[in-house]
Amino acid sequence: MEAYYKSKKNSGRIKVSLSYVILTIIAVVFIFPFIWMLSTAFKIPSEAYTLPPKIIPETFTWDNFIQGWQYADFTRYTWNTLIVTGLATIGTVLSASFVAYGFARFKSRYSGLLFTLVLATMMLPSQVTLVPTYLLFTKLGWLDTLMPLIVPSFFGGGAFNIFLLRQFFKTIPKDLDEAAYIDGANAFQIYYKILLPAIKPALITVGLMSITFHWNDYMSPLIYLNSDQNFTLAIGLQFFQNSFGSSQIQMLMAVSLITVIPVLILFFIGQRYFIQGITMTGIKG
Amino acid sequence: MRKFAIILLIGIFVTVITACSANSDQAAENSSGNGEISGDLTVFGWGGGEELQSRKEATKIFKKLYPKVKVHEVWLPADNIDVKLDAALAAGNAGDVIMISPDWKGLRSKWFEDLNPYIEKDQLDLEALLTQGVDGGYVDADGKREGMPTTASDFMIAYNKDIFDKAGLPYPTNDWTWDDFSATAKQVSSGEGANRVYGIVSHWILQSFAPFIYGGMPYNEDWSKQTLDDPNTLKGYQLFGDLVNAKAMPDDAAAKSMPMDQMFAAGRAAMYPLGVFEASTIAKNIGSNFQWGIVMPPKDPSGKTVNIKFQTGFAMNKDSKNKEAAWAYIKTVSLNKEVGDLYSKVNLPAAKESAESTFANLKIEGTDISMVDFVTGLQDAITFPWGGSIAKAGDLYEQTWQQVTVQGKTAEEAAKAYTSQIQSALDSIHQSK
Repeated sequence: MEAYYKSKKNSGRIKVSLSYVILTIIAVVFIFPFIWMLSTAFKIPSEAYTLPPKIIPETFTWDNFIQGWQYADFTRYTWNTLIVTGLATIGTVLSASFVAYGFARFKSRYSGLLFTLVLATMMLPSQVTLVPTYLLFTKLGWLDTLMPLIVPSFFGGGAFNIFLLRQFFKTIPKDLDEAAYIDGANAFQIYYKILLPAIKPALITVGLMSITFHWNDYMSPLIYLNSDQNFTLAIGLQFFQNSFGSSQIQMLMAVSLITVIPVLILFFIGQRYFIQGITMTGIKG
Repeated sequence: MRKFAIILLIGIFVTVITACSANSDQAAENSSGNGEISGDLTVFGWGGGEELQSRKEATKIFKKLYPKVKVHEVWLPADNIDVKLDAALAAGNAGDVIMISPDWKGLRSKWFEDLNPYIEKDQLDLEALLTQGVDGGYVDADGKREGMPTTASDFMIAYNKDIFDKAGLPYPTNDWTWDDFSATAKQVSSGEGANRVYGIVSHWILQSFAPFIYGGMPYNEDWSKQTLDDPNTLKGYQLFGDLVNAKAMPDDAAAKSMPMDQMFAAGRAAMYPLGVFEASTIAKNIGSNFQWGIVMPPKDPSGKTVNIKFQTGFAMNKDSKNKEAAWAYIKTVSLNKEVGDLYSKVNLPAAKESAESTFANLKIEGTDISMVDFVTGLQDAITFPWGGSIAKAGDLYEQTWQQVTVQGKTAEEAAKAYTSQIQSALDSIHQSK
């Protein structure tokens, strides 16, 4: 009997070890492009394409960051990107949660239809809405300003985010709302003081997704911006690539690294909530 | 561990931001001159690097010539610029003059002004003023001129003299054929694995050469019929398939191991199709690694040198509110000698005088290789065959090329799989007109 348990214990250990080995291999495969970017950013040009590739540069240099950064007004681009990402994320989180609250808690004859319509907007190809949206912003005098990149986020925050948050709201018992009503709270106070704090993981998830999207967004700035002083990092990076192609890969990697670091930091900070937010969405439909 | 990673990333970000400083060019433009034309003018274009810089400098020359015109410049990255342009043209605020290529899908549409009346009014003899071969594709079948050229680029075959010497082969000459090219590429290849030296790099432009090198074509003149299955076209594709099979051209894995320009510059390929636009960059990368030269691309069986050209020009927006200034700008950046000389640093200028003097007298930076062959090569060069309206069909030609050079299929097998799809793509172009 003892031998049986011992063998079972050993087999369990082997399985766990094997799982870790496989997971480590997969993790290395996934992280390799980032490691290569990190390593290339610190290499001198002649080392960038050596075969087989060397992870640790023989000659370590900061010049790629300095030269790459000086190629264009990346400081201004970073500032513009921070403004757009920050404000658009606030808008997305606030408005998506507000709309989702409505769908989750207030029922009318048309709730189902309205929610279906909201979800249907996800099926609409962006090309269809491009020209009308562009015309609208032109008429508003917002062309070549950061407004078209920020303001729409305050009007709904996107169908997927609404869906995600609605699912979250539905996991919270209605008893909480009713208790608050009895205590004299109105609908907005319930939303703001009771339910929003309760769905923190989902709000962080939506916030992180919004940050990642707006930080990396290339198409909207390309379409709505014209002046160098308004450009965002994505446009700056594309200019850089147009200028040097792959011939200055070490500089491109250096500038890319700078632009990717803020998003990485945020992901590290919020990953626990992010995973929690995604997994909990499926609890109740 | 997570805290450490966060602190490390924050540290790198802050250090890098602090170490770097912005460098924005805000040099003031002091114009002088006596131009009569005035008002606002918006110029819309795209690109990057030295070429974009030359376009900005050309605008400065225009400002000097026409000081009363207030120029607003919109310069954007090239990627997905069509999407922006579609929206801006539809909204009527795309600018007065718009950068275009003769293969761009926006041409042959309602957006652009016919430039013929302006040319006639100024009594311009374009044949005498424009570099031979630079102007193709700007005039529609019905005679409407949709744009004026500013620059063009064609290709030479750059070759590594050291590799040829080592193989005991003579350097290629301008009268070589594609059979010579194929044999040479195989003979100069040597080594194995990571040390393999290839005859020719796997350059993206070779796919465009392939249909033409034995006198074939990918499609007929009005794009109504695919001709991929023409025996001469197939022979062209097969040549490159054979080169990959003979390891004279890198296979897919080898081609992905490093950029092709780096492969040539590192001495790991004997030949490289060199565009005007990249000549100085390649020269810088080669440095003193080895001796090299350039030669015209090989001739087809009829004795005609096969070359591909890229052209860039400007068109006038039909909705422009200052057409006089718009024409003045187009004329200046197309025909002005000072502008042509400026463009010569990065591209082949449309202004004949500049092309045949300034450009032709230039040497590739840091070398004693003359640029004059690029001027000659442009004369009969074929406009890049996959751009603009043809792009959808072009994707299918690309897949055919992949079948031959990556999947190892014969050109005939690949053509069988793709001809009907390509024909449908061509049909759809005509249906959507």
